[in-house]
Amino acid sequence: MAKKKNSVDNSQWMVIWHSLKSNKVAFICLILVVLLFLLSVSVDMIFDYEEDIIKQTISERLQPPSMKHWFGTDAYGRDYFSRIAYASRITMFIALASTFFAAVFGILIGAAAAFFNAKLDNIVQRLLDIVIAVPTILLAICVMAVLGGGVINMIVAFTISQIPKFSRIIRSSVLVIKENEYIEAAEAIGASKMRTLITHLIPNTLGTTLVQITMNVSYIILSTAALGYLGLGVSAPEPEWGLMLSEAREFMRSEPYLIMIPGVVIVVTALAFNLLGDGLRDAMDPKLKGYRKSKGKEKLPILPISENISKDEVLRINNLYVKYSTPEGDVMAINGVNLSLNKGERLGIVGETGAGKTTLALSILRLLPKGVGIPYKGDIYFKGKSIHAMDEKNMRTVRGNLISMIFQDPMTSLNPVLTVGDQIAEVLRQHGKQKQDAEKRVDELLQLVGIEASRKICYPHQLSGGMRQRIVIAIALACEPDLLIADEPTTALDVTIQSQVLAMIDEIQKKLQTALIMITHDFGIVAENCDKVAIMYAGEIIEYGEIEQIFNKENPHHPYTVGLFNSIPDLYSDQKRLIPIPGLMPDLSDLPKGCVYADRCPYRIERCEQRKPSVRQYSDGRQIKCHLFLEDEKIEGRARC
Amino acid sequence: MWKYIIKRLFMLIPVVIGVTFLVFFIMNIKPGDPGRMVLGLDASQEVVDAYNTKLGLDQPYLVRYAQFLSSLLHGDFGNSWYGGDPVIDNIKQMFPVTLKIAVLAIIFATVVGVPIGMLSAVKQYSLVDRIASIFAMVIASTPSFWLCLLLLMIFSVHLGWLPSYGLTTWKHYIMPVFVLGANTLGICIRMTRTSMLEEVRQDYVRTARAKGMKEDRVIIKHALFNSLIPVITAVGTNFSLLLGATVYVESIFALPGLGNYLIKAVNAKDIPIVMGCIVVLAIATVLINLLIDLLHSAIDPRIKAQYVGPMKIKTKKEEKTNG
Repeated sequence: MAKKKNSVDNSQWMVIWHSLKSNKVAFICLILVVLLFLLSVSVDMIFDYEEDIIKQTISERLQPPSMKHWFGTDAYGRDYFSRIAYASRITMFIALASTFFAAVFGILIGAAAAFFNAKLDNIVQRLLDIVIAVPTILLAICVMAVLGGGVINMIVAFTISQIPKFSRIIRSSVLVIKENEYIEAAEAIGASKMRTLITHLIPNTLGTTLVQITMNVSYIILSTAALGYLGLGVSAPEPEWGLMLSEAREFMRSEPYLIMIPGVVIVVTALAFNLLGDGLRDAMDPKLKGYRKSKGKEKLPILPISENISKDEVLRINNLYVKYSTPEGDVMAINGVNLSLNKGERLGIVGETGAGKTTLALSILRLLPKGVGIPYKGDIYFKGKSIHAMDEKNMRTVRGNLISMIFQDPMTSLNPVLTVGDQIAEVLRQHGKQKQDAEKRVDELLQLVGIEASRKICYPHQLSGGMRQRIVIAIALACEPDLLIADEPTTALDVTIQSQVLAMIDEIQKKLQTALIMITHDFGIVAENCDKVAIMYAGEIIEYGEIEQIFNKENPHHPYTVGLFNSIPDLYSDQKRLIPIPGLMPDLSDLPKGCVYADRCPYRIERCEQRKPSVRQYSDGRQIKCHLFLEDEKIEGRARC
Repeated sequence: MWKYIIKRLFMLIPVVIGVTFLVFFIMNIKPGDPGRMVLGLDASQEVVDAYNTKLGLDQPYLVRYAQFLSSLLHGDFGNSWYGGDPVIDNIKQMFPVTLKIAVLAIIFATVVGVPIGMLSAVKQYSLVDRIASIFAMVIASTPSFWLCLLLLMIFSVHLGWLPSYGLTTWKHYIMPVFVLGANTLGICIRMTRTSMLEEVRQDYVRTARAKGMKEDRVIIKHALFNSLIPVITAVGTNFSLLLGATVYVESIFALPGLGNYLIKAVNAKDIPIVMGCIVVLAIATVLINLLIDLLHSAIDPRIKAQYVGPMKIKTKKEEKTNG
């Protein structure tokens, strides 16, 4: 058991290491830090302290940088380069030692405070508040002024002032981890609290601590120099960067290099530690890195609409392909989708998570993450106009006005710092309503979605999940769009609220004759609220038809549809247990050559793995994308339920 | 809200007691011999002892600390051991100077830093972003005392554009404020960038885009305010460091502020002055933290709700609906 845990840890560190290695800046800084460390421990071997560092040669005083003296000489004729290099020893020693002690004490205090009991925690926090109230450098100045300069005193002063930083970080990490189940599990199997603390908590907070350590070293390097400059640090003739700067001050006019060089050395050293810390943080938390935009704008192919469009057609999607371009490679999210939707029609798109439903919805509004989600083939036509060809200004008049979207998660879809009334009014104002008209309309809309108009001054956090979703719906309906896309509008709600919200969408849709796309993974919702269904799998529509056709078991169906129906409970069947579909959806970054469902399909035949099936078009409008139903491919034993 | 502010102000008391105790303890590990220092080597031991007794130095540590606290309650910080002048008078004169440059520095850092960080995030990986990130990192790693020397060398000594000491014209403020705000500026740029990057990926920003709003409106109205919360925290935390840095900046530019006064007193071991200055700076730090929390609640109604409690909001709402 212990071994297994170790191997997990190792691989985690390996991931961090690889990520760090691929980050050029951080890697250079790591090398720089290591070199600096090696220099600082070996200065006594490189330089003779008495001869190279201390000995004054008045005849050579204030020589500018040359081949003999790379950094020139100081006011006492001492080689500046040797002194600066030698000074790394004392700075590194103070920075590393005080960071080490501060980290050790900080971790112990923070972990203990968070782990044992709230009373102790409270007392410790108040004590740390006191230390924090005194600016670090002032505390250090006081200690140095009383105890006198010297390395040990500086370490003591910095250690005390830095303990709160570490203990706070550790404390909050511990409080989070403490709630995790594995800690409870460890306690349940009888491990003592102390043992649990050491074996589980400390390794888990090591990452954050490591980042803080590098940042802290950099901070102490700066502070050491600052104290040295004030004359409170080490005393002459020992070389120290801050002290050297204060000696150089009087030669500011004639020998600027005396000020420039040590300063640059300090900056570079501190920078190396800071950038290393940054790199470590990125390596451990890659979510902020974002994706690099692909170079150059990819021209979208715009296909002319060949057939004559009927007046009622609101949306047409022609052979659409969308990929997400990520550093790990392209993810093929939509692979050749064709759809058409008429005025007042209600289309359900069903599929499991990751089938590309939301991507499809966002493509229609052209809201895919910029530079990452790229539609690279096919086109989308809204009322006969190509969405891809539209310029941004026209697109904005479409969004929220002609096409609007109800988003999935009402908890995160509303801005927490604006009132809900403002958020509804915003879309109205955007599309040309005057302020007073907008206000009136907000009241109407709130009534429409069943919320008292007086609640418009509420912030999202003051409303329940169901009410927030009604607000999201009110925003989507505000401008009476021609096309409404509802992306799992009820997933985040509990069942009773679900039916209310759906009934409301249905009512409004009927009233306004809006075309509706309902994205869901719930067949029940589709059955009640849609006229047509498209079943999506791995970015393709594998079956399409009218609701009665799809739900009619006598009709032939795609094996995936059959699998889906078998995995939902049916009150009227004799079936004893549900049959889940074995396996997982294929990896979208590495799609199979043949049919996307072949891997999981119980009716798989040879050609399924060799090439993609085309679409079988039935006379009643149904479409199935499966080799089993292609007329020119006569096969025995079709799937039937 | 007021109840909360008053509660927080009361919490100042233990902090002040703690801070003074800590500093008093440190300063008294080796109290020095002010009598000898003031009266000179020639004075007889009795005279020196009498002087020290007059300062109360013969009393035990805790008694002296209690005396210090009780006079602090009366707004009296004691008299300088060497000059004999009341510390409070000097602080009254010098603290405004320090506060003025510190506040100017914070304003400079945020007013310049937030837009740069924002631009940097919106144009992630562009040239602007790269330059801004490097600049922020370098300036955050530069010791402020060296930056003082560097600017002094360039703009006063070599170019002669800016005055090198004192605080009389607006020109005198440029270098001290820039140097003092420099570290905070770096932190501001970095924090704004990071939190903005997080913010533009939020669902509600997508909702705003789906409303058909212009991208810059989306960023300013929906992403900026939310992303300011961690920036304000960082700036607040940094204020304490900034007050610490006034020590060098004021002594290098010879400004008549608290930092300069403090460092001279530390070197002379003039304990009443050191105590007085540190108490004032610690109170300022705590008050700034309070101000930061209030700013948070002004921006984020969720945080406000924590302070005000649900009752208050309800009445407010009723007021509005009635009216």
